[in-house]
Amino acid sequence: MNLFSNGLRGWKRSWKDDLRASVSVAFIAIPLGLGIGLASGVPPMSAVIPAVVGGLIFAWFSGGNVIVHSTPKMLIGVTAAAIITLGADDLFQGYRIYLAAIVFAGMIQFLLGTLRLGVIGDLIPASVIKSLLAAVGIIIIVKQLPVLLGSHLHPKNLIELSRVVPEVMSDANPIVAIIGIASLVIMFIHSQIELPVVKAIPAAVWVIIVSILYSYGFDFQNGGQILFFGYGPEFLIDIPAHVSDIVVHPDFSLWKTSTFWNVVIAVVLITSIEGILSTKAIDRLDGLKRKSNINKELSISGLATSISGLIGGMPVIPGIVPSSVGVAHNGKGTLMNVFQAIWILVLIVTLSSQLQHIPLAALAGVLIHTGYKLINPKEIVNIYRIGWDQILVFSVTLIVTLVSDLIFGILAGTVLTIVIHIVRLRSVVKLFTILFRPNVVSYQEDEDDSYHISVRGYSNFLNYPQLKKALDVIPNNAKVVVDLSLAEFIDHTVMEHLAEREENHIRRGGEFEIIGLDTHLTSATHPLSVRYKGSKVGVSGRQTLTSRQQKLQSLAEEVNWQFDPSVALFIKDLDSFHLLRHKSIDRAYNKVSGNFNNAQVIIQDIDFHEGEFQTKVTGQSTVAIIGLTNTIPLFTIEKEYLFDRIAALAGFDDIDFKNFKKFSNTFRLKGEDEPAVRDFFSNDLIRFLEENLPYRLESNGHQILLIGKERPMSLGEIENLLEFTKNLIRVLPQH
Amino acid sequence: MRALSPLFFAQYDPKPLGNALYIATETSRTMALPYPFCKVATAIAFSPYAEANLHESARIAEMLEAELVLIHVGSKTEQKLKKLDLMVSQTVIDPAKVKVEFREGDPVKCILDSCEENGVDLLIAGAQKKENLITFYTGSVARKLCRKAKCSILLLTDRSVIRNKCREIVVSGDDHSKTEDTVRTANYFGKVLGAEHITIVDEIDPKKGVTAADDDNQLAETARKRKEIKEKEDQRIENLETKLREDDCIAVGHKCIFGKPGYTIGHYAAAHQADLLVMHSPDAELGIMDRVFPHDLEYVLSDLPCCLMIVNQASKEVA
Repeated sequence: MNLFSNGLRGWKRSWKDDLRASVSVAFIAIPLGLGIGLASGVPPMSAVIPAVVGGLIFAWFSGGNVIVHSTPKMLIGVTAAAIITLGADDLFQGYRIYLAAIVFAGMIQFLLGTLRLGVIGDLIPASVIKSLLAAVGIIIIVKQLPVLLGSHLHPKNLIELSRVVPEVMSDANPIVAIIGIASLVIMFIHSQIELPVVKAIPAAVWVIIVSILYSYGFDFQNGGQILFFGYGPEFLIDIPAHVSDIVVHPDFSLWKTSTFWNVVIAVVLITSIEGILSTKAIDRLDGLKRKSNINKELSISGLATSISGLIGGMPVIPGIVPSSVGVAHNGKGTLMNVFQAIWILVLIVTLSSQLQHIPLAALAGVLIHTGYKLINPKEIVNIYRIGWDQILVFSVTLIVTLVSDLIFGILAGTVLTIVIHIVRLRSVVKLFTILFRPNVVSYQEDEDDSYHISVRGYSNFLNYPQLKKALDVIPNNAKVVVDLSLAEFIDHTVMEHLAEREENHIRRGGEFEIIGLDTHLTSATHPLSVRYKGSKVGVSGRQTLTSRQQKLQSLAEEVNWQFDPSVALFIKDLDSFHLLRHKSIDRAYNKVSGNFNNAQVIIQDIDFHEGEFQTKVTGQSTVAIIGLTNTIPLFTIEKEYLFDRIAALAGFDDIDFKNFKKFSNTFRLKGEDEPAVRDFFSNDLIRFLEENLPYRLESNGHQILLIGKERPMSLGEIENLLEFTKNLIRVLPQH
Repeated sequence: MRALSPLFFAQYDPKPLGNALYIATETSRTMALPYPFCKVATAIAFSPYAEANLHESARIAEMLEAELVLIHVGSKTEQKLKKLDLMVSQTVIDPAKVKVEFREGDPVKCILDSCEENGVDLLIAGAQKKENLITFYTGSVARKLCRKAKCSILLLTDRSVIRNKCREIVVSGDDHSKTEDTVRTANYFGKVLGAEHITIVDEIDPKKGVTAADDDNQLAETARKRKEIKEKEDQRIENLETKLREDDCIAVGHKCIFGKPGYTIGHYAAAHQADLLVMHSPDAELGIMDRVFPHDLEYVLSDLPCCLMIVNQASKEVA
């Protein structure tokens, strides 16, 4: 077993880069940890401990590559509430009991990871997770706004804050508020400043430098008074003078109570969810495009959480902020995590007296910026565009989370999503049956070894693990086609997971395409909206371009052709072809058309059905039609099967060419007027077809039809078809 | 042997069915097969759908050169007999080869008893979804028949094998003692119907390959192990194909798919728009627990992708 994720050789190669990057990481990790600790209502240093424990002990076994450990932001609300309920007014006692809960939570998370249950992170609807993040953002802002302004009030929630706004404003301390607002401004404008000197140092570190100077300038330590506003050490962070004072041991006395276990479950859930989300996000940052082992990381950070809890620290997770700072500073491997932990220890020992000069308001500025990022207003607009159902789930989760807690928020959002799905499916039983039924088949195509993944029936967040399993075993550089044409319903969560997969797979050098969505209906104008099959033949006006259609559009523009996604219901031309005689064409759409060498070429998707009323079965395909100006003989060409060869031996119907053995053996050419067909098939034409003809081909006298497989073609296949069509026109006689 | 391309007729002959029939009789005489279908049975009632079912059963029986047993669950009356005679006379089959049975009681039990007593090799049942009466027959009865029948069964679904051309047949090729006979039967039946291509689908339980692929190392390991298993399975199927060629087969291909056994083949058939799915009979009679926790055949039965044929070993003994 490869216990050490990067191995000695990897460390040797990357240690210099990692060492350099780790300095920046440590500098950002300290204010981040202190801020989270403060916001949670625990001793600030307890939130720095996770970075040290994770980096020093567990980085060596991490499931990731550029992961730097940190503590979960989403837990702020849970922690703040838990120490009050567990401690019954004695906050320090509450904190010690909470540490015991962290120890248990870590062990449970370790089990989850060992049992490879990391998939639970995917089982929560996407909108619920976005809502949780936003809720945490709001909680942070509500709690930190008075601190930022130097007020002594501590409103518990949004409603209370709105009620006490006038008091907060009158209680505000301008001396404190100046540095608070200044740090907030630094956080917001830092990314816009192009100066290399400014850019080299992360925003939070600037805040620390500026605020320590400010604090020295006004001599906060000894206090003072300017005009009517007094200031003093109560506005500064409280850090123990000795490192040994940081260590606090947990109190296990309440472990038999249900309140205790409620907290444990909340910690496990939130920590796992945020850990999994961060691990995925960190993977997207990795310039070397490696894939983290989510389950391994889950159990390793679980162990780290237990150890951290034992010495007075908050839970440990892969931290997105320190990791991205590390990657931005060219960090490449696990050693970055180890070095940053060492730097943190060094900085705390040497600088703890300086750190005590940091005003709380400055950290509040950093936290409010984090809160704003978590709310992510742009994303809310996006959710609104994805559909009314998503914004409903989002709002309900948000409100429930804010008035009760995260766990109820998750429950409410998930239950609401299930209810919406039940309404869509019009059946409760159906929803539960799909849970226990497979709905995915994945196989390799014979022609090019590409992976074809077909999804059938209902696909939603509850049965996504099956699709995930199929996607997980696909090699990184392979070509993948996800065919959703048999799926009747695909929810937003699955669409989002697929989009994420597409991005990751393409980044790792593979090809990824989603097909079969073009005729699904959708409730809104967003590529990630819910898709479902309508019963009507026509497509509603609310349909929007899928990514395949967008690609087709750009393909058409590239060659100066037209693209028309609209649906044509009566397709006269196609009926005249024998190859389509058993199929009734319902509609044609996604028309790519243009002229080439006097010939009019149309490539389009078609929906057809075979049989009528109760025997009706529908299918999809992509066809090309070449309209010619001159008349040509009627003929069909298809791949010859063994059976046909026998028929040909009996002297029937296959027109063979003596000079072209391969062509004659591979293909069956049929035509009513044999001499005319022989005349039409020039040597050039035969040679061209002999080389490669992956389609069935037919002439109806003035048009040539090309059909591929009985499924819509992927973009690559359409490109090939287009190229093939052009080459065919080139070799056609009289063209 | 005078074999003609069925597609030729399908395309250019105004009466493709008559000719398809002609080919059928030629091939069925010359082919060696494990399970000859000498006696075909179907349940008959008086409704437009039952009539369509009768027509198709008659055609299939004629193609197979088999006798046809019509089982009516209900009382025997003169009026019904007359009506049945008229219905039979409108089909392609020679009325002399048709036997009508009247039985009263539980439909499933009646049909199964009648099949057993008459030595039926192939029971045909309709499985359209949209009609209430048929739903009665299919939703419960046809599926019950599949679970309990001792002979082979052909379930005709939405996609009619006869009215539309049967191009693609998917047959189960899993590692089982019944598989060889099943594949040969599928080939024979496909030939009779003028099918173009058979795909032998081998479902490999993904548990056999390593399913863990959490990171790049595990992914590579899984890929390697799967390749190993696949090569072995490919070899087995190729041996099967060789045997099939001795039977004079239609074009054959095969596909090894890692996926849940029983489910995967049905989904593959749906994705590839197969016209007929052929599977072997379950080893044990399926009961209620199998429906609660579906496996193998139950997956296909609960969501039929196309026409389904279940080849049953027991019919061999009868033959």
